[in-house]
Amino acid sequence: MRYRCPVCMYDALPYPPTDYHICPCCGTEFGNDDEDFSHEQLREMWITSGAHWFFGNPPPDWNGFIQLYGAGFILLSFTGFIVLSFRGTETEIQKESGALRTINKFEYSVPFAGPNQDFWLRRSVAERGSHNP
Amino acid sequence: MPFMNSWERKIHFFKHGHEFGVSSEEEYEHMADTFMFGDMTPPTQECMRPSLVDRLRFNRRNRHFGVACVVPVFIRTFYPVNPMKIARHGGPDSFFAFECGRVNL
Repeated sequence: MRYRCPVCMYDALPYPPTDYHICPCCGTEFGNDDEDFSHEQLREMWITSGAHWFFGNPPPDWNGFIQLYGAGFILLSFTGFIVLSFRGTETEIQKESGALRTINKFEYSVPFAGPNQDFWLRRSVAERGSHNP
Repeated sequence: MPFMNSWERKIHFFKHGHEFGVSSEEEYEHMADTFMFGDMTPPTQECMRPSLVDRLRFNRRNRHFGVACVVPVFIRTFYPVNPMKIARHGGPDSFFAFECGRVNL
């Protein structure tokens, strides 16, 4: 049985997000950290700190922003560069030398190789009209 | 008594070990075990949550806080509480009373 983290949306928690279990992806300790802050606040703090993997090795090709995008918590659009929008904060991610890189707010890179990245790019292109007319 | 398993010990040590200045999982677990299952020193308080599953200890002097499951017996967590959190609850007594009464876990 796997569980989803309500903060970062990592969907392979080995234990339910309760009882002081800690998400290996974002580091949230449930019952402790989410007593101080809402899940939304913790998610924003995780994103603005770079959305890095917290503990151990992440799954192959893991990317925190793509994980959030897949869960519908951030928006991506493609117009020659990608704009990542979160709660009114926009971060441009441009393609340089086969990688995407943030140019403000926080560093973020996505190796642009392999079927998963191509898939996300296609999804981003498809959403161009709705998010960045 | 140990954490629930080695993975729980590792990740709790990774998150909280540096807050105690300990350098190994074993040292962190021993510290947690002593705190939760050893004799209580005077500034330490203890209670059971309404579920009767979790036993809590809190040392109001150094703000150490631990939770142990009583059936089966293992340590859930052990960390120093942020003083801002204690202040937000109105002080050590109010903080501990709040933690003891929690049923939303």
